Amino acid sequence: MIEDDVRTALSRYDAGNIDLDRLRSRIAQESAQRRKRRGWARAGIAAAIAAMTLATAPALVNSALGLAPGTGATQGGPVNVLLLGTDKQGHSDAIILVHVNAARSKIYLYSIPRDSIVDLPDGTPGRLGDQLNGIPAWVTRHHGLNLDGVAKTDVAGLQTMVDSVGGIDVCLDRPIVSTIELPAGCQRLVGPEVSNLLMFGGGSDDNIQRVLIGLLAELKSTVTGPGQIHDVLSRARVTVTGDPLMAELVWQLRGLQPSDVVGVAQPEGVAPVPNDDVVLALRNDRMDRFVAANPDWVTRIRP
Amino acid sequence: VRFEDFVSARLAVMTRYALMLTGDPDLAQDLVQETMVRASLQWTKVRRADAPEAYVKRMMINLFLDWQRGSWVKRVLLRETLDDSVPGPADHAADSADRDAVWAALATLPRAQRAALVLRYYEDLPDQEIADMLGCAVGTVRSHISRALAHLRTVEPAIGGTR
Repeated sequence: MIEDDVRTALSRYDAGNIDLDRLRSRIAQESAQRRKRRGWARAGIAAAIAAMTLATAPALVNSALGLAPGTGATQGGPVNVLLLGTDKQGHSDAIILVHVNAARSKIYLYSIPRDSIVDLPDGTPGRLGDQLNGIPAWVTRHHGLNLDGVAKTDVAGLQTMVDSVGGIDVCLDRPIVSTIELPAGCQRLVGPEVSNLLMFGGGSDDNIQRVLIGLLAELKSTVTGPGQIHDVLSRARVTVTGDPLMAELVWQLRGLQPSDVVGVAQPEGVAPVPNDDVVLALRNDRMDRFVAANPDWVTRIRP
Repeated sequence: VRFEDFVSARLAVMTRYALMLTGDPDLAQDLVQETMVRASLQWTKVRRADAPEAYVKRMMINLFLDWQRGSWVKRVLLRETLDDSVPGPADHAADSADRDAVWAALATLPRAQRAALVLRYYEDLPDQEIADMLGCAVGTVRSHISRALAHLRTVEPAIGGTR
């Protein structure tokens, strides 16, 4: 019987001279490296979620955190909040500029490439993500923008945060078949699944934005008061500094749908250099034009 | 169970398993390494599974099937491309013409069919568990296996005909 031949062939095949000790040390090395990278990815997610929270209900956040209302939002111009996800070494994994246009009709989540090579304070070139404390100043200088706020957070509390809103809907433009398997389309994910998506799903900046958009929708429907927002933020250990936004802005943003939140990031395969077109569009409040002219920069949400 | 203990105890078994799937010592090592690294990164979850070893094996199967997409192989190993066929067996392990013939024939199978054969004839799993491992229906498993066997008979009529 052919079945027996298959069985015999399989059972007799031996591992030859594979060096298991060498394999074991390669596994240990690669695990350590990958664990470090994962820390960054998690920090990025937490930052993104914090950003979403801020963009969704800034007035609630302000009152909950006891911050005085600022002036930027009341002047009717665009609003910019910088979100930084940090790891334990003080590097920044996620640098996302939340940009609300002056018309208050769109929220853009622009992922600034953390690998951008920029001038360090001492005049030498270096990687943007390694200069945590200098990032807000660099963004202000390079983009010619006034930041209305800066939010920083770390890895702790990520899963609690997603879970504290009861999970979120994440929409994927294509299925993921890997250590995790997720179909294309929208699906309900809880905290651990969200972190798996960001660790193993590839395209981490895109997925961070997808998670943010899902969180926005969830917060819109579940959050009922400042106490709850404060609770979520403090569990995620988010710190907020800068010129806080006005209640007026919240009212203006309340009517936005998830489709009004647009994720923007460099297409894959492009060198991580700051892009002047984006900078100009942000500065001149013309992100609508930029997005229309550069569809490959827009994070795809649906198949 | 600590991850390091799991590796010490099960690395040989997992390597052999990878060898069954890939039929190639180099690819098997890559497959084991990637699987184990991923297992270590989510060890808390793996450890809590009812059967950690089966869980890791399932991870390996998924990775193996995922090779068709070329995703992690290109990303992790920076290889140029992998063609869609399963690599052939290594010569050094061959010690009988009959087994050579079977191995050569196995190498021509699509990965899902080959994985189904390994799970049934090497792991001796019932069809339902094979379906769980492969993430498909039982009917699909049976059709994989019957197609694989039919293909083996076509490619190598001598196999099985002489015994």
